[in-house]
Amino acid sequence: MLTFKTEGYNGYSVQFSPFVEHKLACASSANFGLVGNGRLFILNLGTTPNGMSMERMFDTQDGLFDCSWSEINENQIVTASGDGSIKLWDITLAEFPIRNWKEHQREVFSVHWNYIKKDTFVSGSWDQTIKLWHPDQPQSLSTFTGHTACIYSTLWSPYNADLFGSVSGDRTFRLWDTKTPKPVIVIPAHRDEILSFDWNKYRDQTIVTGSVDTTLRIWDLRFPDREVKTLQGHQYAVRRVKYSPHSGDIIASASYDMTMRVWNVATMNPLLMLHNLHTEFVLGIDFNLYVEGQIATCAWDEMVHVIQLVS
Amino acid sequence: MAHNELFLQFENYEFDRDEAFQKGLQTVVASGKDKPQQEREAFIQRAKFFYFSKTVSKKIDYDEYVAWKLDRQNVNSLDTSPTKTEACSPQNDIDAQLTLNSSQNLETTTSDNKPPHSRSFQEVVKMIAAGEMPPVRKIPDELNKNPPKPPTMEPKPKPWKRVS
Repeated sequence: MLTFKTEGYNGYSVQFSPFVEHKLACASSANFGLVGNGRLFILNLGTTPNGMSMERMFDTQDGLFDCSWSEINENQIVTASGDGSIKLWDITLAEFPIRNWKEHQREVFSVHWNYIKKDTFVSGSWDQTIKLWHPDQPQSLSTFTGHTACIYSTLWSPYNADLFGSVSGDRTFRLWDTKTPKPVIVIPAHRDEILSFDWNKYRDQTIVTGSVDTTLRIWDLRFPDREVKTLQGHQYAVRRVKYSPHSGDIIASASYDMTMRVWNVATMNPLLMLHNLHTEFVLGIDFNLYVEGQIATCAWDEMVHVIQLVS
Repeated sequence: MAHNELFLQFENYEFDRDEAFQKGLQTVVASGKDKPQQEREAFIQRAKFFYFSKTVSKKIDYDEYVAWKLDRQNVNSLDTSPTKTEACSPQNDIDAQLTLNSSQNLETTTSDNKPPHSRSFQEVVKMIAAGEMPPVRKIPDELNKNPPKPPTMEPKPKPWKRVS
């Protein structure tokens, strides 16, 4: 296992670079995100014997809750902040962001770059709105309303450049088309707040959701009346779920039970692996796109872990 | 006072009726009011523990309390069985956090040189509850004056695109 200490900062989100396989970003907040500064860490793997070294860090006035690398410029990454701002950074330029948007009225909890069009990203906020952005435009391109509680995650479809999904404290998953203001599908997917979801990269129309009700649920969007499968095992809220970029059967999940679990839904006993070396809530997970089985996690224990799944 | 009595005293302490605690708690809760419920509940539990240790008895020790609670519950909370399900109530959340913490502590009981947290949750909660803000650095609200670097790399195909 490779480790890095995000000294003084509690990890909220990690993402591997889509360009450079040994590069990783971690969005974090001081004081557990209650009050205080944020910090974006840019890390490189394999540069020291036990792990990772820091290439650069960026400090922000308010806590950072999410980050997403640009899909079109290997130097750029966007962050979501507790003060409602969204900042675009060039990791070759020290100290200040290259763009700073202030439209959301509340904490921004989610940002995600479009996989296919590569020139837009979406943000989800506690102000219950989703906004679509172009990095060169001073204002958002459009705003999507409908959720009736905080939005915790917004992610583009890996198949269709115009589709994205969102999950919320209102216990629904919503599918949106950038060309229409109303959601295409609304699924009341859990009995409690939904904190995370992800798209299956190999099965069109399939998503996984993770909820405060402790379960993960797999959905086929063509049959939204009922989940395809429920994964149980986490003892407390599921904070983040992620489908493997290499398999339509592998899912990783992070939880307030301080564990990260990897599931193989094609097997009778789906729990493939339990990572229990964090000592606080685990909030971030990502799979390396180009090193199969490599998974990064970050947690409130101020640690980033990178582990290798044994196949 | 025996430890177990102290722990029971903590568990039975009427935080609801302690005006000083409630006043501080409002600040803590307000600053985290839209966090998912688990995070809120964890804040509150730790605020209670910290408050108790400052105002009622300095002798109460969090790790010992956790070990005691674990012993009393006699559960192995790191059971990896994927069949276990529980209702998600605040009390369950608190118990989970305590038992999980202690399970991990027990695994490393020999290591007294465990690296300390740079700022414990309790310290943060205490400062906020006392109306003292933890140190927050002023970051200038500026944009970078240097021109962004144009991309030099081609986007890599995603693994799922390479297969299909």
